[in-house]
This record gives sequence, structure tokens and C-alpha cells, in this order.
Amino acid sequence: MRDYIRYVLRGREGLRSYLVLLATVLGSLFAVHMLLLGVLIADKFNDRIDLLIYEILGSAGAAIGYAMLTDRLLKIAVSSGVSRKAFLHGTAYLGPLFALITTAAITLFFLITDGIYHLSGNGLSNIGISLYYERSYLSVYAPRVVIFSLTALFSLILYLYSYGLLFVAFRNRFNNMPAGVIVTGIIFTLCHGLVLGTVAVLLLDKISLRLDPEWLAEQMQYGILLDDTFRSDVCVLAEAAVVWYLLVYGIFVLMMRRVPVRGKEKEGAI
Amino acid sequence: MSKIELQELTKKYRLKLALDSVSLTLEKGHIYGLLGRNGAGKTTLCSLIANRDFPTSGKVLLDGEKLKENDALLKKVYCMGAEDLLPNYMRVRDVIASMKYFYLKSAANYALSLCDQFRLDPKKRLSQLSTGYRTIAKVIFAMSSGADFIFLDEPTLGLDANHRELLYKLILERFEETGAAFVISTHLIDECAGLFERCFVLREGKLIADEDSDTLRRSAYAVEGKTEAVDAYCQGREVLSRSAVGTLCSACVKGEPDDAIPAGLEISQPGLQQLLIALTGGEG
Repeated sequence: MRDYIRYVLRGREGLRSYLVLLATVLGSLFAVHMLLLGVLIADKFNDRIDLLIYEILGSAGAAIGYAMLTDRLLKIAVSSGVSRKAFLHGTAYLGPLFALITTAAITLFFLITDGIYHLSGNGLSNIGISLYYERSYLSVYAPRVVIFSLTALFSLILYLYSYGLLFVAFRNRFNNMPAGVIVTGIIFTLCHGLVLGTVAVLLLDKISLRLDPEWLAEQMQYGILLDDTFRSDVCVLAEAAVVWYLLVYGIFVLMMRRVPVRGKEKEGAI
Repeated sequence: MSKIELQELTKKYRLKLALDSVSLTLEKGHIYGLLGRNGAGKTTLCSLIANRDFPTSGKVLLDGEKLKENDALLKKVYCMGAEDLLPNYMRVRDVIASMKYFYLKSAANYALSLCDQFRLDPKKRLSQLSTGYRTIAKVIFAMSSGADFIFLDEPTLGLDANHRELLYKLILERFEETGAAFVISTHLIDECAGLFERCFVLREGKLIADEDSDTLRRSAYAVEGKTEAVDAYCQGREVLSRSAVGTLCSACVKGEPDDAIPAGLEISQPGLQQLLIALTGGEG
């Protein structure tokens, strides 16, 4: 497993290609933000605006990149003498690690964009705080809000990664088409339909439903104002995402541990 | 001597029995030929040994230990498949550089020297390579892996005659240098016949021959002559294949020719390819 992880972290087709993809996604989103800023300046709009572009599209792009990478790495690893066991163990560690890196990257882009918006007299809503109805009570750069924001973003990315893993598992077991249908079906069912709201809000809403709905919903709305429960807020968010990730990872392991690895050209060759 | 043992290896797909209880042994320090018609099970055999697919039953042992899902042992095996598993956008040099993470004995400089000899630009992406150069790239990855057992599945696919000659020469050089076992699966049998020390012949998933090349060649002979004379001669003998053109006929007969050859008949030693055609069901 060490060889595999070493390759992913230091080799060409691992972290490096993921970061290139992530930078491309976030760079594109940065360009979109700059266009929007132009519109805001032209309209003489001067306020803090709610833009969840980085969280939603950034995380979704990252998850697609992660799924693509995992699929490629399976083929590279197995054709290079790495057992599926080592590949699967490696994936268990690499998922959260990549999610952390993505969280940091998205936050960095967010901060740079927010800084530029500030120069023009505008501002972006903080990542985590924008999920709250009562956000006006707190400064968006209060340390606890920042920590909560990072946790929320990390949880969201981990959630989306888990759907990516499911897609890879179904793709390798069946094909692209059934994989797409099944995973879209799962996301649609779990999130009550993406069209009804933002991915972020619905996914986080789902976390609260899976645990203690009433209590967590209360924490989600007001908990951040209470110092003594703040820690548990953060932990609950992260724990729920990690538990979900591990659950999906378990399914991934079951589906992938004996999956044959074949190339495109001669699929099903004897 | 390090060896791979296949014990009763069977692979069943939904509609086809790809391998049927295949048992054989591969020892380091030999060059083997893995022969058979299309769909005989050669690629499946390589995939099962390289842990790319799993057998329905049976096992693969390397030095007495199970090879399946064993990272330490899998590093001793490299399988160059006809299929493309590496991402197309990867550059040849990147693949060569990545080998060091997986194969400790991989030789990047040797790989680059092979690129030079084959005039393959290592800066090119795999997607930019023609069929022949893609095969060359895969052969280079395999030969420079430093593995003890190297499987080359269709290493001549798309290669011109010059490159094939160079490939055979390099395989022999590498074999002498490293003593690794080479298992070559190819349809250009007569060209490669000189390389093989031992041949495995698969027919519809069954191993029908596991012999050293000379013994295999001597295991049958060809009889040619007028159809009636050949048919008369073949009475009571095991005929592997028979083909007739006009009044002339030729037959491949199992065993060694006896001293009493009727007049008008010619006996000859068939080439490995001719013998394989006879063993695997004749032409067509």
C-alpha cells in the first residue's frame, strides 16, 4: 500500500493531476466571480452577496475529478502490480486527505475572491455562514465561524466524493450508463431532488436528518452562537460526513475487491 | 529457481468457458511461447496471473505462495497486455518515470535507450502513438520493469518487420542479462519459434500441449502426395489435420514417421506454425 500511496502523492497521475484539475475548476470559477464583480460594479451594487459558487460548483468539480482519478488509478495500480487490497486501503486514506486539500484550496480561492470584492466595496458571504438563516449575528471572519465553515465544506466534499466512489464502483461493475443512472438516482432520492435547492443546503440538511433531526436542525440554525455547543456542532458535521463516507467506502470495497480490470479496446476479450 | 505454478486454473464467463483446468509451471530463466487461436484463452491466462482478473477456480502460486492479492509477489510479475490500461494522455517518459514507484528494479535509463533504438519519442503522449508504436511503448515498459516474470501478450501487434527483428534481438539480450522468464503470446509463430524453449498450446481454454519446442516439433510429421496414397497411409494413424488441393493432399500425422514410407509420399518436419494449425483444429 505504501508504494501506491507514494505514487499517488508524488507521481504524475495522482495528487499532481488532481491539483491541476482542481486549479482549472477553481480558476474558471474565479473568472466567473470576476465577471459577476464587473456586473456588480456596473450596477453600483455595494453589499455582501450570497454566492455559493465555490462551495457548490467547486466541490462538485472536485468530486468529479476525484472519481476520474480513482478510476484511472485503479487501472494504473493493478497493471503495475498493486493488489486491489492495497488500492482499496489507499483509497480509504486518500479520500479524506484529498478532501482536506480541496477544502484548503477552495477556501484560498474564496479568500482571494472575497479580498478583491472588498476592494470594490462588495463582499462574498462566508462559506459556512451562508448556510445559516441567522448569519447576520456574527462576523464572517470570527475564528469559530471560519472553523465551522471549513468543517461544512470538508463534509460537503466528502459527501460528494462518496457519490464519486459509488459511480466508479458501478462503472467498473457494469458500465457508464447504469452507473450514471444509479448514482443520479441515489443523489436525487437522498437530496429530494437537486432542482429544489442548492446541493450544499440539501446535503447538510440530509446530515441533520440522518442524526437527530430536531436537535441538529436547531444546532444548525442557532448552535453557532453558543460557545459551549460549538465544538459539538463541528464534530457532528464532520462525524456525519466521515461516517457516510466510510459507509459508501464499504460498498465501494465490496463492489471493487474482485472487479476485473480491462482496457477499453478489448473489453470482454478472451 | 523461482517459479509460477498454475493449478487447475479455470475461468468461466457467463456464456463461455475461457480456461478449463489449466495447470502448468513457468520457471525463471526460460522463454516460453503461449500459443493458440483467437479466443483460446491466452489473454485470460495472462490476466489471471497478473491479478487483473480472478479465476473461477484454481490458483496461481509463485514460489509456493498464492499470487492473488499478494503485493510483494505481484511486483515480480509484469504483464504487457494487448489492451490499453494506462491513460492515453500520459507521456511515454511519465510512464517510465512512474515505474520506479511500483517496480524497485525498474531501469529508466534502459527504457530510454530502448526508446532510442526504436526511435520512439518519449515526450509523446500514448494517444499520439500509432498502433505499432503503442505496442513498442508497452514492450519497453515491460522489458524495463525488472520483473522476474514478463508476459508479453501480442508484442508484435502492428510492428513492421524491422522492428520485429529488433524486438526479438532485444528480448534475447534482456533475457541473457536478467535471466527473467519471458512468456510470449503471439500469432507470428514461425518468426518467434526460435525464441521459444518451451511451448504451451491452448485450444478452447484447454491446455493441449506443454512441451519443449523441439519435442513439440518432433511430435508430428507432414505427409504429402497423391490423395489416395496419403489417405491409405493415414489409415490407422492419428491424423491431426488434412488438406487436399486437386489430386494432391497433405496430412499432419501425430507421432514419429516409421521407416516404411510408401513410394510417392514425401515426409517432412512441419514448422511450429503448421503444427499449431494442425493441433488447434486445422485451417478455418
